[in-house]
Amino acid sequence: MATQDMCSSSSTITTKKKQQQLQEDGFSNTHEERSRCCFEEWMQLQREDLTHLLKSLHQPTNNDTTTTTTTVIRNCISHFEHYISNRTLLAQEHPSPLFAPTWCTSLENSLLWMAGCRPSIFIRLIYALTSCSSEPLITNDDDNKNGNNTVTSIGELSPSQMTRVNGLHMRTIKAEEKLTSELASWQEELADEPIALIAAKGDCGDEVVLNNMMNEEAEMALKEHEKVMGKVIGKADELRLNTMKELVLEILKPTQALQFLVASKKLHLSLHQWGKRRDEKQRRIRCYHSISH
Amino acid sequence: MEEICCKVMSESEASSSCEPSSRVARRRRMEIRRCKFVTRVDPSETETVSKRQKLEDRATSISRDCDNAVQNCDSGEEETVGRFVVGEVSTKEVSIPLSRESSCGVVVPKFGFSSVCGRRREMEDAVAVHPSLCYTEKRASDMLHFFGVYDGHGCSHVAMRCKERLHELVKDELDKDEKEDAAGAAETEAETASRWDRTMKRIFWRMDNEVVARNNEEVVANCRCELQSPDCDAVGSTAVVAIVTPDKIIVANCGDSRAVLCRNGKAIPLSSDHKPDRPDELSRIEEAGGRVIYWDGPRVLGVLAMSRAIGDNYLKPYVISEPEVTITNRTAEDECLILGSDGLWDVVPNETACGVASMCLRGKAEERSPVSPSSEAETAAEGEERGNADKACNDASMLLTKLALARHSTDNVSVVVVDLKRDAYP
Repeated sequence: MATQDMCSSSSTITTKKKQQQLQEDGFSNTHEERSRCCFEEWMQLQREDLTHLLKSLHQPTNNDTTTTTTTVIRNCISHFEHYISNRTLLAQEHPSPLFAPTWCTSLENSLLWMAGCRPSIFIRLIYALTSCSSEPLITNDDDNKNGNNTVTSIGELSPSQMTRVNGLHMRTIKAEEKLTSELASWQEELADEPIALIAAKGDCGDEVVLNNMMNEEAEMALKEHEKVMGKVIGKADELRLNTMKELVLEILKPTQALQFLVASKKLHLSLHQWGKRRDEKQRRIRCYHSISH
Repeated sequence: MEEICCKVMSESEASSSCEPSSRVARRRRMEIRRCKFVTRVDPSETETVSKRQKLEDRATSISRDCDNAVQNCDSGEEETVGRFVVGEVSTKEVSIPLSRESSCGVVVPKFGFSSVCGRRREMEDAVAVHPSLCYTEKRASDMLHFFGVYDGHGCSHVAMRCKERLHELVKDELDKDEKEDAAGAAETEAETASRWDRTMKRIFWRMDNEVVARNNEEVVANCRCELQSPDCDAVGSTAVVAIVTPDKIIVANCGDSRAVLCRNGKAIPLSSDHKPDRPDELSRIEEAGGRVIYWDGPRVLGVLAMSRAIGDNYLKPYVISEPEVTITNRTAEDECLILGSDGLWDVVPNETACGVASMCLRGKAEERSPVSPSSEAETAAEGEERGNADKACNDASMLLTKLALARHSTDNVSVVVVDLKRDAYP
């Protein structure tokens, strides 16, 4: 598919140029295609970021590398910010598709919370990473006390870091719950005035009877409804971004932040890959059935 | 050195601010002090460039911490989540008695605690620490120190209520004891034991009554459970309480939280978990007409996975709130006392916990004397946040918490570590 090829080109600058050109040409720039493009671009950026992160992680640390590490981390965050600001524009235009994206795999879609990942999974990921490296820390604690080990592993979260991670965790869960119930209210709103009444007045059985005026009324109500749904996505994105920023830029030390970012990028990219493979398999099964019948 | 400065500052503040001041304001003052403290650190003290770099990093992280802490108390004061933030209890209630008592020469054991949400989405654990809560008895000059871990189920409000009230009930009951025994002569060991047993049972009984009465009379605000069930009878909490006196450790336990003593490198459990399949508990439940049904483990009536708890009115009389009380004489070999919720004990055996805690305390004791400037900065910042809790004990409790999370504990994890070594006292 043309858009996909275009988006997966390694340089994001050329992608953007192409996208711009495409828009100017007025060719294939539907909302869905732009959304797909925005997502593909973000996945590609993450692949590139992962390369930089891994390179930085495996470098021996000295004063010079500390600055590059910080730069790599800051870049990751600003890429995330950029993606979110692009998404916000798309959400303002047409929010509904973002809740059920056609550009994600079914596996990814099954994990969606407010059109993205749950912010609290960042903390769960921290705990999972702690699990990988905490046990040896406890068994030879004396070695670690010398303070000569240059790499601060994520398992070595200091007590104050643990306290802060826990504080962030509880704030994040609370914010998530708040947004979840906000979304629930808006979804329930649909069964109330005005939309439910417009539906009640109409005659769904006969499309001809459904007059134009009624259509217009429904369209207006739905637009209004979509607008608030778009705002909810905005708030969720903000929560995702802020949770990530507090964790990476404030709580974790640079080496720990590197490890965390590597793990989170790998998780996202892997889920995407696995999702694709699974969808592909389903498609093949479907094909096989349609041929054999 | 800075650490001492800070302590002095907090002491002077504690004595000067006798007029009631809001917690927020107090916290804010503390944040300001912490910032000041950061600026006082002289970079010229550090020897190498890399060390200075480290220090600056630390300094920035501390000042960020300030922003964060202010934010926390600004937004979280009335919110349920905010109340659980680790160390909040100690800031207000601990620092004041400590600074006053220590000048009179009463030895306060070092302690630390941690309480995290972990892999749960609800925080239902609560921790209470009250060193120098009150005098042990009569006209004694000895203080007793109170430590409690409460692990709620159904909702957090019973555990929160225990955290707020149980130590006050201890104080109240001991006051009564004082009046009754005013004329009494020196009592024997056995008499002391039975007196403590009676007192603790009465305290837990009163606590349970308060919780049940509260459930019946009022709408529990800010609770998850208020929507889920009209009567909050299906809410309860475990309680493991340790009262440390100069010569004894009294532990009262109800539920499946646990107290473990580390003595001479060995782990001695001071409480026995109340599980429905414990033979004596099983027969007690069955004699009362209840049943233990295996549904994801043994459960009373197939519901509650413990045989005693505070609250849980709907499971009475099968689930009772009467604690089991143990009294242990302290010895010179005692290293530390660990209280923990099942989030810890489910995945960390007693021996491992003792090994980790005593190793951590020993290690930190050696480390204490020559403190590098950077770690001192951290100590001071944390010290203020967590009241006068000891850094080594805090580190030990956090290390145990991390170990529990590392071993995939799926529950909230709360740990209190009390340093019992005599030579550890100032």
